[in-house]
Amino acid sequence: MYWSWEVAFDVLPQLAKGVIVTVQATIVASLLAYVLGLAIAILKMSKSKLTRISLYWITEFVRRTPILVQLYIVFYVLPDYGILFEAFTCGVLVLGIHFSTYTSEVFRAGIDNVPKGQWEAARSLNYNAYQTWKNIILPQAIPPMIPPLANYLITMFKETPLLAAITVVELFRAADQYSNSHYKYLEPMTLVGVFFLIVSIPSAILAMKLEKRFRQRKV
Amino acid sequence: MKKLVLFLISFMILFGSAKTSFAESDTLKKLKKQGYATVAVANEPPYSDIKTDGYVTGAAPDVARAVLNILGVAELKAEVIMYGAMIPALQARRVDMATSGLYIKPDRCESIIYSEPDLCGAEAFAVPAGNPNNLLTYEDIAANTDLKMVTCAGCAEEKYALERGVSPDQIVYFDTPPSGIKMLQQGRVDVFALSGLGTQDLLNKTNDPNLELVMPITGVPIGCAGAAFNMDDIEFRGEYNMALAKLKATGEFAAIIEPYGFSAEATAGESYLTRCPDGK
Amino acid sequence: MKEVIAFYPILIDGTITTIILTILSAILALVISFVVGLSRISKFRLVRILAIIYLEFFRGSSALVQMFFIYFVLPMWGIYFDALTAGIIAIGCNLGAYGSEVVRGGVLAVGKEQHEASLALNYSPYKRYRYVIIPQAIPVMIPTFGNLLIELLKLTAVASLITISDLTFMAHIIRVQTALTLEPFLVILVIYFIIASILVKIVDLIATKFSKGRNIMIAGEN
Repeated sequence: MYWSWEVAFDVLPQLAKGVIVTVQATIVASLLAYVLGLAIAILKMSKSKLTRISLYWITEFVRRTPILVQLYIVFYVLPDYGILFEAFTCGVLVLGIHFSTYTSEVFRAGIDNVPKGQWEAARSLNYNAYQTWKNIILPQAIPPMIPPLANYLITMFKETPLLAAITVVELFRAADQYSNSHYKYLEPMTLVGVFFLIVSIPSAILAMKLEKRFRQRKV
Repeated sequence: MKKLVLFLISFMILFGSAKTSFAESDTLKKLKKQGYATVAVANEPPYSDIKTDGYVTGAAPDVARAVLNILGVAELKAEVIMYGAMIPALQARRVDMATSGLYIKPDRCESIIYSEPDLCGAEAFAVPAGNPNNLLTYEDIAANTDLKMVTCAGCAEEKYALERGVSPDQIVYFDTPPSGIKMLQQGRVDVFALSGLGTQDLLNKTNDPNLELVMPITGVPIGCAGAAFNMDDIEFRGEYNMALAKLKATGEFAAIIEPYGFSAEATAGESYLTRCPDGK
Repeated sequence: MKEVIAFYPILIDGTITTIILTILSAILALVISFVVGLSRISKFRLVRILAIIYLEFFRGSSALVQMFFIYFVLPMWGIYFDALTAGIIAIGCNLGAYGSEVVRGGVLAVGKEQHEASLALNYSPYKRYRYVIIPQAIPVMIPTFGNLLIELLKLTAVASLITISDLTFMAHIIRVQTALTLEPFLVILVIYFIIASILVKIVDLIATKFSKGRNIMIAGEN
């Protein structure tokens, strides 16, 4: 089988539409993962053992089970219990929640990295919880967390093809639909692969640069 | 002496050529030797049915089993794959044949070859009870661009819809039929399209009073499915057809498919020759 | 739920396929991790470059796309793999790329003095790595390998999309036969969790065994 430029150009418009969805999904899912991850990390520092243990098992359950099956459940099963989301929303929710279990670990490690003295200093300055976090802890915790968080952004980007399983027409699904209708597999799949590489490799280089930059900060 | 040699040579040629016309195809020889044929099957009751222990039955696999038995192949090893994956699987020779509701369509004939039709039936829609959008044909779906329909990627229904003016933006694809029904129940789509018997079976199992069956759909041809083979297996296809004809003649064919709801007469007038261009 | 449980033979088949897929892919990934990871710190520039190309290619694209490519596109060039093999190759190559970074990190973490000591003892590079460096690098690598193993398990679910008869695929079959949706998915979700938890425990045991008598700082979350 040889490459046909005709097919490649034919599938390009559909792929372009898919790319937009992919990018949108990645951005929204990442934001959710960051926010939720931070919340989980903070909650896990709770004094209540019940909170900590239940959070641990909930996050482990989400982390140890396949995203694909979680997607199926949110999309096909939840509506039976009255929770109906559009496909895109389902996908973003699942990706965001799934990866928040990872980002929460990054946040936790970053927060743990802040020396105990900072917490004590905050208390001696009579800061309340909000001020402590906002003015002292987070500004010191966040910079070293940026490289791994950036890596998760790239990872989420590469997981978006899974959303195809719940009818979200992102890049991969756009190619797959074309393949199924026209029985042409080479050009669409290759273009998809190429596109992912075009985005991932510069991103990986960028992430490495970020890591170098933030490693210089001495805590 | 020369005459004897000439006579012997012509006798051998005659005998040899006679032998090739009765010889089995290489494919059939191989299948008989290994004792089984690998058959791709889709998961669409009643075209195919999978029992709790994994045993694959249903109208199409049962017919295939019976035909293969006549040909001397004892067993059928079923591989459950999706319709969209059947043609590539045949081309890659991952499976020896495919069956269970792969409609005979001209564009598919460019990639694979078919046997004579074994299962013919009408098309159907599943819609919300009362058919609020009054959908009786694909043209009805095309007429209202707000409507969304769900079917499988690469299925005949998708082509029917596109041919009759349904915009690609209106079509959503399910991975398995129950997902499509779920989408209909949840209001994500307005109509579910699949083969007549497949839709009927699914609605029976789902048992939802809020759903309704619309069958047959007018304006589309009767969908005839046949067993599909790799393009090079022309001889094997011929053998399969002969065995299938025997099955039909003895009435065993009807006995196999009718319990599943199919009609044997529906296949009577049909031939793959009319459905595939160039008599492939 | 009863109807789903009735299909337990299929579920068992699916679970076995998933486990086989996981184990074989893990072995492939482990081998690739070491080959590529060590190549990345090789003396020879060409070897390093090849390793980086491999890393960026398989880490930079989606595993699902890789799987589809191997299963649907390669046959057009005459390279046929059956579904299971295609899945093992795709998953193994993909996670091997991630694993290679772990190996590289682990080996680089071993102190310079170890290299110097081996040089003083006149060890060849092979002996140096085989007997001194890698054994000390391994305890550091294990926790992260454990995380990657869980990722590998989850990736096998994606293999169902190229028609591998794994656990997720069987769930779909049960769905079509029973028209139930929640129960099949819930059951396989629990099965996946159980398998993952077993894997986590095994990795923990391996980690403790390898760090017996060592004062090793365990990198990684858990």
